[in-house]
Amino acid sequence: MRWIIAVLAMLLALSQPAYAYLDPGTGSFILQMILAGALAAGASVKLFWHRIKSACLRLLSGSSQGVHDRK
Amino acid sequence: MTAAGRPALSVSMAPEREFSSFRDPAGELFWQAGAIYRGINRCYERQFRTALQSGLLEGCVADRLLLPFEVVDAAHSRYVALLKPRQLSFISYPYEWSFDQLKDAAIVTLELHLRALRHGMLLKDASAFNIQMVDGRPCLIDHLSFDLASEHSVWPAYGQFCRHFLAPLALMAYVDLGLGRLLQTHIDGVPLDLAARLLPRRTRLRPGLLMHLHLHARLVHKHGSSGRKVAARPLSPESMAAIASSLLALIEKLSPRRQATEWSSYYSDTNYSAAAFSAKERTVRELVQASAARTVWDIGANDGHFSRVIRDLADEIVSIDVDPRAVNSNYLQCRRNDIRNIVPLLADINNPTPALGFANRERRALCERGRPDLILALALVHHLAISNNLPFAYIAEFLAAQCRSLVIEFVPKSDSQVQRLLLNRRDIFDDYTEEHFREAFSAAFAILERRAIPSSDRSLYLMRSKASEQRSKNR
Repeated sequence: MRWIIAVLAMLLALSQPAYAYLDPGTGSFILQMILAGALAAGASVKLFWHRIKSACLRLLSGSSQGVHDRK
Repeated sequence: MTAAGRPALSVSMAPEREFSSFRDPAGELFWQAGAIYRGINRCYERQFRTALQSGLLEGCVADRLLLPFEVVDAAHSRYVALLKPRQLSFISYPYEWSFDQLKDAAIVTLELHLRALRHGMLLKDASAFNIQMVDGRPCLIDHLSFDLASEHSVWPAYGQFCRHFLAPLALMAYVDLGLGRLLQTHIDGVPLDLAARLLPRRTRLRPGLLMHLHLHARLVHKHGSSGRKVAARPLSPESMAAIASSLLALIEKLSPRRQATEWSSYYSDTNYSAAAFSAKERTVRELVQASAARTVWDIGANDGHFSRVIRDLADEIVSIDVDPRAVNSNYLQCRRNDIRNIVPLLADINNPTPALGFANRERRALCERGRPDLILALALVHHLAISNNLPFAYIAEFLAAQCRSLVIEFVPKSDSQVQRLLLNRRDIFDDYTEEHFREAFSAAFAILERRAIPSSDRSLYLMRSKASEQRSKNR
């Protein structure tokens, strides 16, 4: 029994990735792909938001102009 | 000068390769006749010509982002081009910088990358070791750090930037100012998973740190062992610029929460009267002038007050202190007043920065990086002799090997600062007297002058190293 546990433990230990073979570049690569998409989406939302905001402001200033006109 | 009007490489002495210059196949650094040169290999010729002809290099030099250089005639060398950069007399390393020094170095690195992107190139290396403090500002010294953007799908130095700059800065800002020292044990940058574990949980609420550090650490860990080659459509220069701008915004906002350190109130706690303090300033200036020194190391400089007092008397002053907050205050004062000849440096004289890297030859020990004309050691000797139990003879021997002249302050036991050190410990320092101090220092130095500081029990000495005199005779 002890032998089986020892062999299993050994197999588990061997299946762990060796630290020396870790490639830090892959994670950074994937993250940049995600970030590029997220930042582009963020920029679009920002632009869209600015457009909505300026349209609302135009609308509001237009209606207040109308109030002045009536006076 | 050659026919092309360029200075030619002196061939009178054999070149000696700079050991640390082995990482980049684009070129190498070598020493010849006491000057350092950078030879460019054929594999980097196209990139170098593009950087040169697009005006990228010239613009970066003009804006003090890149170390000035001249192209030297390389007709008889094995390189396609040869550069002679401006020669630097003192090299400092990122683990010897304070928070704002590292932060400014990070900002310069990102500015260079963003500028390169506008020229169809990018920064292929973002190592903090490629930056030096030149004329009071961080500046890139590796002229081969640019590459054609079209050759890369993503910014290849993104991970390196986060390890070398973002992780230590975040740790200094959110945990402890002293954690910049982690770059000393991790010379390829602080591992992101280590930084993520050390940072407080609340840093996950900051979108910039969440993306560039916490998520980054997780993805590096998750995909590091996948063994897969990742292929994707290349990012546009605009996308790469958006990532760099997001990092820039994050770094610009980082600032350390107020951390009190041992020395943060040193000058307000001092026992000097205003008259004694200005008398000390005058005497220090006179003794430095008498030494005729051009290069000075001010050790135990605190916030660099006395380095600034003598700044017009020397060409270069390395202002060394062990306290990260004092060094940062020194840097900020120099930056604010555009003082260019002071290099604030974080180092412990009781444990000077060692040699590091492969074969201990990539990064040199502090004591191997030059021997100044003068060492200024004000209000330091009691810390070495009492706090660290160092015999006067050891201190004298160390200082004599390191400089030509010494201006040192003796602080007697009657001084309130020494009394503070002895407050809760047994006084075993019977030899701590001015007489023993003079005796021990006389073995290593010729004592040229002693000046008492008015309204205090302290005294200032000007000495000349006997070892230095011997070295001059042997030359």
